[in-house]
Amino acid sequence: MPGRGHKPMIAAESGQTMNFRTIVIWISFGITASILALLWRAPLPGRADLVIGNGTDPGSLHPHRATGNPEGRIIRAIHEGLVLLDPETLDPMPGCAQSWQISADARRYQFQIQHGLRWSDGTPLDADDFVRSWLDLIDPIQGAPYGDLLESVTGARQWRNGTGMREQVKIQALDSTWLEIEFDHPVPWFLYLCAQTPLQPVHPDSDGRAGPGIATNGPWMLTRWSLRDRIRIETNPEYRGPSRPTLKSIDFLAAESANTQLNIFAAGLSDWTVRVPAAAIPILRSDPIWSPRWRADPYLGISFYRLNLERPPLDDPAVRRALSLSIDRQQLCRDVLGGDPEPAYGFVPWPSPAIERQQQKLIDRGIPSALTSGLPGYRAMVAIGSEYNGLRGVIPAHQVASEDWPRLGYDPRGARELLSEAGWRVPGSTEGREIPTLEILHPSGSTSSLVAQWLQLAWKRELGLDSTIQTLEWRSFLDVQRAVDYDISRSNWIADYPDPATFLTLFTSDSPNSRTGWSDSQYDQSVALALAEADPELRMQLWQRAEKILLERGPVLPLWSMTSGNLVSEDVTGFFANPLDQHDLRAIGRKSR
Amino acid sequence: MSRLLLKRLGASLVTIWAVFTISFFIIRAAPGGPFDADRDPPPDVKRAIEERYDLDAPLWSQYLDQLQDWMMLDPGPSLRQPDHDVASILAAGLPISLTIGGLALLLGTTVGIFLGLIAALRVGGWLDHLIVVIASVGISLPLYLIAGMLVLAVSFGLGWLPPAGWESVPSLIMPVLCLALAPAAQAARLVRSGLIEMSSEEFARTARAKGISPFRVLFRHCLRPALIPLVATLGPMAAALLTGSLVIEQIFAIPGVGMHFIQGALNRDYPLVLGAVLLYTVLLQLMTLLADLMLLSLDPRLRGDAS
Repeated sequence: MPGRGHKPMIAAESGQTMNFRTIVIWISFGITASILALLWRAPLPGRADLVIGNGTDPGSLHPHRATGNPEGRIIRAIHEGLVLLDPETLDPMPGCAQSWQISADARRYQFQIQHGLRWSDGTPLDADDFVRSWLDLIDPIQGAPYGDLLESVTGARQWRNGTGMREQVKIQALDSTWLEIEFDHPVPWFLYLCAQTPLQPVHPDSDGRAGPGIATNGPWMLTRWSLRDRIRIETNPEYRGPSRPTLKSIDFLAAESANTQLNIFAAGLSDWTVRVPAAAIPILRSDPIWSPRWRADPYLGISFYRLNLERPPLDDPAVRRALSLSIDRQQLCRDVLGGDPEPAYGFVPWPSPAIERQQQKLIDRGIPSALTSGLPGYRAMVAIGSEYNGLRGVIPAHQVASEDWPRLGYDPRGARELLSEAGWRVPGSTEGREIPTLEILHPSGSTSSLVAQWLQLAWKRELGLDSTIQTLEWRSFLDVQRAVDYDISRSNWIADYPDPATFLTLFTSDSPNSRTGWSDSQYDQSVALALAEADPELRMQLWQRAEKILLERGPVLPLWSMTSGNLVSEDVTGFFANPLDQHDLRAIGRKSR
Repeated sequence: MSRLLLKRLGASLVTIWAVFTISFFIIRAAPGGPFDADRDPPPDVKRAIEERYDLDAPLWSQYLDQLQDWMMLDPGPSLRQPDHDVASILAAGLPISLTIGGLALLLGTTVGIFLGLIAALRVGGWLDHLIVVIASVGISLPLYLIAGMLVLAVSFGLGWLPPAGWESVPSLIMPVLCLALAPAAQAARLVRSGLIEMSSEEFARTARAKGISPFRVLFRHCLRPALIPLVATLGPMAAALLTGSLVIEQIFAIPGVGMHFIQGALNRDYPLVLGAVLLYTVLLQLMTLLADLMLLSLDPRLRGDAS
């Protein structure tokens, strides 16, 4: 450092000037080099026919390894399963299979593969490719995260727990065009599964990886993967399937931040964005410019809190019930969540009154849209507060009029009475035991945090209950939740297929995902009976029974039925509301361009 | 000089190893794992996944394996993006971060030196006060606020530049401007105070007495010694800028390496986190060395010490 009293440097002026000049020259060189480096970058592709703001940068694009929606959207475009889903109704349609036969008990499926199918490298694709792909999905050594989707295939569970072999699993090619699969119990939702990401066929040479150059069989193929920037897919010239997509190229933009996604969409640089910041939702709903583009449709997902039944006072059903009855879910959905989601009083989301109300919201926003029930044939159960039309406790949701829906599960006085009867102290009384302070655990994120604070206030106000809030980053949160080391913890569950089984098998005693310490033999039995039942009507009744038990005694505090949140340009055609929030790109087109 | 370089290289290797070791054990001590999800696979399957990535081996053996892999510069695939090797992930982002960070560094220091020079020339005047205020604001305003306001004004108000993305040269302007703000402010403050201090030195007074103009005195005679404090801070500043900024990359959707520090850690993508940390360490060592060499060229008194 220069200090006072050092030698004057003016004497060395000429040398100094040169050194300084050298530095300036170096800096100029640096600037030029940077600009050259900038211009030298690989040429960027022109705008694709459709640009999707796809959320976070995808993890793996291998069907067996992918876990999230950003990956699924791309994988289902570059692969084609046996079955495609109608973009509007989700009805199964021919994909790689031109037809199928299902046994009366829904335990045996036979698929006839289309003739002349090819991978994008030109090699033929037949029934054996599906057999190999599906067995690899089940293979315990491969460790596919969604391998359990096929665990009910006869012989699969034995193979996975080490008591059986690959050859004993009942997935077989009868010849090059016929494929047969047999299950331990009826699996009426299997056609839907065939359209899902994990069941897409995988090229024999993929070696567990995906990327440009690895053959796929969909109408598009991956041509560019710029990490954390964009993925481009372009028409696959070898595609021989039934779809005739209109889009030649599609870009999937990766952007971690929802604000950035919204900015990109607002600037017209993307045509559809799958993520928006929660704070923007009220504006998107009400602003006349944005409202027609904002699509918040019923999505088969439930937002709820898990309750730890291993810890008092949550082991007392009266406390669990009181916690639930003191939540004004209508207010929560309206004031905290922006108004799109609907209150949930049961665990299977979107019962008919909720769908009707959602339809009304769309009509109020001037968006004509026909919403279909999320789970065909299932009449969900809901836990109500005080008596409704002579009914009390847990009742079928369809018996509730949609105008009565909002406040159905909100009964703070009833909640206090329940607590009082169970010997707990309530506001205004000095009798009974004091409810110990509870901890609300949630992962970091603005919505989770707002909901936790809102609940904390509601419980304090209605029940005099003290609670603390603990926020953890996602993986630490999962670690604590898995160890059942919490009181109350925030959760979501999204359907894998449109059937109550996807929700109601979550809390059986042997489920690895229950994470609540709850075990109820009657519930387990109901679920087992429902899974084994082939008769559709009877099956649904058994699921209703299981849901009733879950709501009466179970470890869940349902909060709201989830909605999708897509911002879609008015130029985009073929985008329909559907409960899986899966929008097959084969059907999507553009009005202009 | 070569002895100095050799000594510095040895010290750098030890530092890099220490950083690797500490980072390895810290990230492994974090709760949760790379394959945790809302939905857990059955225990057998989870074990198989861990076996596949050697995550079931004792920690010390994983440490030795990783150390060996990194010494061969082959850390293997990312755990979250298994279709890509960690090396290729970093290699894809590094040129982008280098470009944006390099431009920001050059722009920031050039503008900063220029502003510092002007402020020192008009010390006590309104221009000086203005520059000092701007520099203070530049240092204290959070980056996300500046970036957000810039996007609002330039992209949506004026419609001049794209709000985000990595598509064209115009899309780099705002990120570079935002990133350049802090170094510019810092450079302006350091150069200003350095110049004010130098201008009261005997050599400067002598030069002024000889009739040399105040600007020429500052520019030709005082600037070089006044740059010394700035150059001393340049090493860490350059390393931080060149390895990307999480905030800037997030707001402008820039696919540089800055996000890997945070996302890699949040996803428990152990090899990626180590890669990002090592990259930063190496750059920091390199930039500090460069800054020291620049100091040597600026300050002849140091040359005696160095040899």
